[in-house]
Amino acid sequence: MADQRTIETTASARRLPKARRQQSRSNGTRGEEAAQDKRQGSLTAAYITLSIGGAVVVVPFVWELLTSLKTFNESMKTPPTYIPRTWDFPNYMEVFSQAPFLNMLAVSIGYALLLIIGHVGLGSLAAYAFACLKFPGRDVIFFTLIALLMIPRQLFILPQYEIVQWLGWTNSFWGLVAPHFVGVLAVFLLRQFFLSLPVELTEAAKLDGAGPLRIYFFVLLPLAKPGLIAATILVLIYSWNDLLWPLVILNDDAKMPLTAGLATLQGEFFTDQPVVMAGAVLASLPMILAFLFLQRHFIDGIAFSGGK
Amino acid sequence: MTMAPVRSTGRRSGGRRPKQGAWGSRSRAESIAGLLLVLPVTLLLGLFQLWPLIRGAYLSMTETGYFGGSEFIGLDNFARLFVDPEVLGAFRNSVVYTLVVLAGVPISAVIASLMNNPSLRLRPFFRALFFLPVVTIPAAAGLAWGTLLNGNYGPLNHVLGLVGIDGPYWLQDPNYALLAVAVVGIWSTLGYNMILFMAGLKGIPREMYEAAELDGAGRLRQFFSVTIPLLSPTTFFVSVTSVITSMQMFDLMYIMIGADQGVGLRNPAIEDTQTVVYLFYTYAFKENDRGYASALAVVLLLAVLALTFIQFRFQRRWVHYG
Amino acid sequence: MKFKRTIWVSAFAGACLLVVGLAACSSNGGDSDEKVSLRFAGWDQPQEPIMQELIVAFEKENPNISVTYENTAFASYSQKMQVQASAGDAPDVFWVTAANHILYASEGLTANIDEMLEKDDMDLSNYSDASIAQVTYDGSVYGFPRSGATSELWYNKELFDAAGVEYPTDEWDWEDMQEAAAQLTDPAAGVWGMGALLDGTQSYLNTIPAAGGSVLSEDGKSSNFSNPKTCAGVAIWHDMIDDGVMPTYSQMLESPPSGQFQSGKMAMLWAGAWYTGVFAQNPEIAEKIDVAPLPKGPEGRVALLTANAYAMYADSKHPEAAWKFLSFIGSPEGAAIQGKNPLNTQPAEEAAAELWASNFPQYNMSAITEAPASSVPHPQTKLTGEWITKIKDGLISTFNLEVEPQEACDAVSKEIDAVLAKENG
Repeated sequence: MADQRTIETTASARRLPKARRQQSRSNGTRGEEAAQDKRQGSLTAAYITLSIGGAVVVVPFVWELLTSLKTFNESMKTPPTYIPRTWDFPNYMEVFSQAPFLNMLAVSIGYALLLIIGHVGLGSLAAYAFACLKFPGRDVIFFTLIALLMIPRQLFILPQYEIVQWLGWTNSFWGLVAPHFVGVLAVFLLRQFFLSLPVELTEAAKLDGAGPLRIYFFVLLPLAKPGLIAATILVLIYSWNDLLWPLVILNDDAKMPLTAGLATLQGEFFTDQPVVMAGAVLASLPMILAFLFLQRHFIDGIAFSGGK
Repeated sequence: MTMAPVRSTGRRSGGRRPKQGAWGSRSRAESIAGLLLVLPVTLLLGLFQLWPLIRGAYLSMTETGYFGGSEFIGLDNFARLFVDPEVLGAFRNSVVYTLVVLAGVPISAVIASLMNNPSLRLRPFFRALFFLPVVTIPAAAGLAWGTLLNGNYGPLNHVLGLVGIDGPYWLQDPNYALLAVAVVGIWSTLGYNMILFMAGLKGIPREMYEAAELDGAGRLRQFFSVTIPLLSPTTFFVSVTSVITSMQMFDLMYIMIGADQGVGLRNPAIEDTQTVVYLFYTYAFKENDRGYASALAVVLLLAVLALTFIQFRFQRRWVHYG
Repeated sequence: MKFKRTIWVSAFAGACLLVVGLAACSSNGGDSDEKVSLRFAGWDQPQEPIMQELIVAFEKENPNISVTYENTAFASYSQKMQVQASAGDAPDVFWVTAANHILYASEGLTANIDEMLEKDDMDLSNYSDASIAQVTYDGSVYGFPRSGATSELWYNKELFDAAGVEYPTDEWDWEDMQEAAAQLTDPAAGVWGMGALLDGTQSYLNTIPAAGGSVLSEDGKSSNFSNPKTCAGVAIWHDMIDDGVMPTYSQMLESPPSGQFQSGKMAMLWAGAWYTGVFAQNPEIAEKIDVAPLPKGPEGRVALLTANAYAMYADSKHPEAAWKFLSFIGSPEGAAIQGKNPLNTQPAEEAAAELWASNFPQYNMSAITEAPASSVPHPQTKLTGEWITKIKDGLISTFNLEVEPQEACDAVSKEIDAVLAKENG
């Protein structure tokens, strides 16, 4: 197959304009230097493009930060000022007094933690079973669950609300968590991961007389770190950013996670841009900090999820 | 940090068969263990996803009263949906949104390939930069962009004004609002797709590029004849997931277009911008028309399935598996 | 191994959060024989401390009853109520918005309190007739009036002085208003002469009756919106926008008029009395403004009375405790607690209203306190929520100068009739 590719690329290279080809053939060492320059040139181009791109990407954050430090009047100036005239940190204090920010942060963290326990903890057990064990109905159950992945969450919401009502958990943290406690995606990813581990490991353990649970806890789990981290990161991002369900199930500002709380803040303080921006900055901070400290894990986790 | 290499396991069958002899006597234990291990997840998913699926399908064929109570009306909701201009508009908007966000996929691919340049320093810095939007709460991102795009006080219109362009009210103009939200959609997924592409690029053997270079292909040529074909599995994955998530977008719309200053002031652009999920939210929770909303959700499901199926069908034409 | 440690730390943190979560949740419905828990719901976040004050005072006198307050943003309040009521899970006591009185009462959501009032020997003599009318349905009373607030004309004295325009007086009519607005508008300085929130309550629902029109017909069964007199109440706003003295609907959606007023970009603003506390608290603007009665329309000075109410859930699990709380907040004592606080809206209870107004000696409060006497109630039918939305949405085009007022009014009128037809079968 590699030969096929080489033939193809050579063929496409042959389609290059004659002049180019002649130049590269006749240049010899000069060609090498030219290639070096070209590489250097393209490196510079890369730096420039990435810097411009990065700057564009960062503009909203910068604006958010700057606005959060302006006074109310300054935020309404036309033309807009770019650097705040006075650095108005009380806006941040205002957020704490206007919104139960710490409650919301606690809810966000709690929600994320519980979802990780469910999706990754329970999910990895199921993933192991699907990947390595044989039991009746295994494939049927698995593929039914996979089919669920395709379904837009919105179709679930109303019935999920009914169930939570029936449990008496509306407007409560448990009601928030319950329908999302486990999820298919983590099971799917972890199953892929377990499948990719060498068979010899489990075979050896079986020969030693280990039962399925022992194999899981003592053989596979220690090796599962990359997969578990990947799944954790994905669940973390998903749970942290969830807006629709908290909006639906919670009435009380103090019980909302940061996402929904921020939306409510916008609804109530629409005139005070700087305070709303300060709220947005504060709400984003935990996750951004987590990302900066755990960058490697985030990247690997996402890369892993795509590797299929 | 390297991990166990992950190959596209599309062709691998699930599970390995243990040697018949070694576990023959344990197959019962294994079955029990297996069932027990999948039980919690299966039960919970059955309760919170499978049942809702069935119930949702049922609800889609009912009409709900103002304070509760429902009445079975068969396929009336669907009949109403297919001629409802608001619904048709919402689907159009969702599709347009999805297409625009898809257009952002090549951008992440290009950025990923630039990032993969082996002599590039500061890679973690750039990576963090592009990834920041992904870890920002969509609500916060929507608010920040909203301020940026504000027609009166926002810097964008100010800068445009300096070059003589009279910027519109981006989030209120029926012609631009959807585009504006879609740009934010691209912005917030750029980093995520970039990471996926970077991983995909790593999987392309260097020999390919070297061979191409030996044949005189410049970097640009290499990009088109080596990178793109060999990256196609990743591109396929990215586009399938982008379509699925874009068709379900709600948060950005709610924050950027749905804001009503606390007194129900409507955005004039809403009919030209609202996506299917936003409309669903309106029907289900603002107008309490749950049956109709459920029917809409069912149609959305069918639409997403159809789009995904089409993509899978077409993959043969342009996706090269290695 | 760092990873293991991380797991333990996270598990511990998770456990702590679980405990916190459990503790927080146990306030919902934990019933022993003696202690009763009530849920109390409302909107308007700035007034939340006042609700907490009420709760504290009530719990002191009633140690067996504990009350928790739930604040929801106004925009989602009615929806939440609907969703909860559909589940049989509404709060025990809650605020009712003016538009929903009839809906809730007729659908059996709010409790008829006639008998309870009699039993406790309470009357509503401390409330005006107009207020009582707003909580009455089919001859029975369904709650206590909470607010009796109208909108007034707020103005920026500094801007008036700078432009050399006389302050608004009691005698002002629409022409005076338009003239002043023209003189006060200064495009170079980015100052608008006039602004208002075009949600109806603080704008055209006042000018429509002042022009001699009405939203609905007398019997409330059909729309009166295409009536030229009604339309005149809409046209006055359209005309001011057209004259360039007031921003368009879109411009005000992009930057709210209350914000522009508070940053000195707007010389006049029609705003509800509930803004009084907000303005008074804003150091940038508090000293520079004052308030005047709404200018007189062709048929005189009329303001819209927004009367919100407190009601109790007809299907409450603790009806006696709920009544105790409801009657407390509706009593003179409860009303006084609210009136004392400047952030409260203009109370409906008469003594409380005086108390509230005395919080702002710096302003011409008689403009606010005297307004309810010449006000009209919010037009109401069962499906008010629906046709009000049609009006709000339907008038956008004329307030963006895209169509003429009469055209918009005619279109809106048809929509109102469609909703009413649904309601009346």
